[in-house]
Amino acid sequence: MVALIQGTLQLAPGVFAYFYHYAIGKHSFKKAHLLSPFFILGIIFTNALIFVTVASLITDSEILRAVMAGIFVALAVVGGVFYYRQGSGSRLYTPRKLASALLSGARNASSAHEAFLLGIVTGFSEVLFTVPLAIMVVLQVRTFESPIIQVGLISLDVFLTIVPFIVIAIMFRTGGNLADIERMRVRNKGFYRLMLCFLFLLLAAGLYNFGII
Amino acid sequence: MKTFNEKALKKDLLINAKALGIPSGAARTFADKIVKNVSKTLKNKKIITESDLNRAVLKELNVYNADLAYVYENRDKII
Repeated sequence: MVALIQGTLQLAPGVFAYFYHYAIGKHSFKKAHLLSPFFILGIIFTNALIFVTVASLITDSEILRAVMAGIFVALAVVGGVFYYRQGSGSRLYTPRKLASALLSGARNASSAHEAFLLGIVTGFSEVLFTVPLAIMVVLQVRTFESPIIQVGLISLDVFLTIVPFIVIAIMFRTGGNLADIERMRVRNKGFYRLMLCFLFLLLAAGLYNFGII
Repeated sequence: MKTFNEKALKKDLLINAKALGIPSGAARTFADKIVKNVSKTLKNKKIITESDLNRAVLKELNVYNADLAYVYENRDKII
């Protein structure tokens, strides 16, 4: 469910699509295909860093789970009401200066390390949502004793997180363009908003009622 | 207030056209026409705002390519 929520978040896929579009326009399809894995690696690196930080700082307790349930209710409200700005397009809650900086970075990234750094910065721009979700994953993963299962579950979560990027890359490779992707994102704005709200509420209810999802 | 730079506009249009898979010859032809027509539209204005420029470019783009017009219109509204 956490991976599903992460897959619903729109900031990183938006930046990725914009980056891919400009990489094709400024360079070539080949260069865009070569650079895009580095952006995704940046996102994976950020997620891994968040997981490691959370795992080393968080200790499971009744109070923590109650606080997390409260945070998820708040995020359900944020996701449902404030995630998208009013008006046309798919403008998000992100502060405008940050959004401009990310879009400018996406327009100008032309090397592997710039794509990687853009991925890292983009990953950190969504910490409002990703840190509570990482705490949730760490709490659940710790209920398994085998380290192999723990690493496997976290790897699965990280993999599911990058599925939207793989879908966008496939869309570009199969003849799609930024206009198609953006139209799809705008068309599904309401659905993403509803999913975010519903899934966060479900997470909060599960945590509050059963202590486990 | 916005400074209208013909070269920058043409370059931006060509980059977006290439990314959308529009053949380079066609893109160059309509980019030239768009820049020329936008310059003509804005020629008499002493002060040009960003929305004046966007409106003029969009009006021209809609004639040539719907996808390019959509990307141009939404380029700052993606996140």
